[in-house]
Amino acid sequence: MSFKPMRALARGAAVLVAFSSLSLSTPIAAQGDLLVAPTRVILDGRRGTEVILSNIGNEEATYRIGLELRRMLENGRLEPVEEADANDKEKAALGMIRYAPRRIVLPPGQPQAVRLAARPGADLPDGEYRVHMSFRAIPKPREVTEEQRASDQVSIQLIPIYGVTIPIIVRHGRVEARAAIAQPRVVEGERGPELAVTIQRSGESSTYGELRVTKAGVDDPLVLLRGVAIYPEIGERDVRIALTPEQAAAMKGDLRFEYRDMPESGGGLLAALDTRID
Amino acid sequence: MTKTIRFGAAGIALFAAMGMSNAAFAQDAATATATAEVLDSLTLNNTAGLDFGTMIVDGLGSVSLAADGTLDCSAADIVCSGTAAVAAFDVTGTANQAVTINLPTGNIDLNHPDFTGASVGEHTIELNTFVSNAAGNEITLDGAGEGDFTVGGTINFDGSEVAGIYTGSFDVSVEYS
Repeated sequence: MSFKPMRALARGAAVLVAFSSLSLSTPIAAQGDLLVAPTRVILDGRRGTEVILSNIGNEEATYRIGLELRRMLENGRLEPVEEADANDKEKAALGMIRYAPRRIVLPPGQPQAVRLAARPGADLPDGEYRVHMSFRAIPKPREVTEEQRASDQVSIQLIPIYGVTIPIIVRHGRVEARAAIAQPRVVEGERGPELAVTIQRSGESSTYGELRVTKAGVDDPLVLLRGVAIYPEIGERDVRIALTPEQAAAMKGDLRFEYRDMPESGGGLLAALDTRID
Repeated sequence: MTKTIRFGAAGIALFAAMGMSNAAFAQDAATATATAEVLDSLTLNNTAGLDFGTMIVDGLGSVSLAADGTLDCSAADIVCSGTAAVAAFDVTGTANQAVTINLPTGNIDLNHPDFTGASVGEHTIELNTFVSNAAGNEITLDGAGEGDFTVGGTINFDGSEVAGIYTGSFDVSVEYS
């Protein structure tokens, strides 16, 4: 059965048409603009997967694909970790990921799949291993304009190398996690009121989901923050959400805080807290 | 028999947004029941470059460009001209999702075309203190999954720089967790 080619064709077509509509809405696309899908990858077996990288700019561009390490801090920021400073778990993660290609030249509107797979060693301890895959546009050097050349002054030509990183998570063996919500409160942040919530996590696995706050008797969530990840290197994460004045005013009375799996992963409840803010 | 077709989420989302239909594709590709698995996608567009304009350098000093586009060229021995602009980026992804922005933390060296190892002082300009307009370098995408940010920085002159065009690159990345 020629199932695979059909699948690839369908995807290619969908993504290609997506670009033509994208370029309509963003006419100032620059060299190296990119689209990556999906935005996180979980590998939990021998089967590999693909990430699609597309050039949504208006010029041919070269992209470099690499693996990097990040550690999550309690404020949720992902801090870069140099390879020399990597711990055993991070080194094992870097060592087990296979991917290709590592460099792609794409004409405008063209997608390409990056294949990846995990090859955990036989004696690898159970656990969750993680790297962050980076997709970066490598710009071509620009011609210096006459206006710049004629100058007896100092001028600067800055080339941004920009891109995105997405987590690649390998779950090896039996891993679990539990989560709990604590201390929801409204605080005055740098730029106005913020909702501060602590989410605690225990176990070997990360948790990932959406944080929703609902008010008794109101269906629509008062606050919704999606894609809240808590990685195994931290036991709790402080989540801060900027509130509009209306949201801040409504953040009173009987409230329910829920941390749920993302809807596309089933939306299962990870943690909940019913509380009252006065 | 059931076949599964995976589409990029951008494709599906855009079709929905633009009131078009991608049913034709699905039907061409598979004759049996088709199940679409929606993949979240993330896009990054660079909509403006970081530009400090031009400068006449008579002595030591710094020129800084705040993330809101304000140029501070108050150093006594430096005269700025031309238009300065911050780098700007558009991000599109999952609605209501927070993404973090990574900016360079150290010094970036910008080199004159005549740069050699022996002429570091007069042929190198240091660029550092990158800043974004996002609080805590974190942005939360809006209900439509869109967000944007700007990036500024500071250039430091030691006063010995010769005239000319200095070139360098800097890394900006958007992190999905």
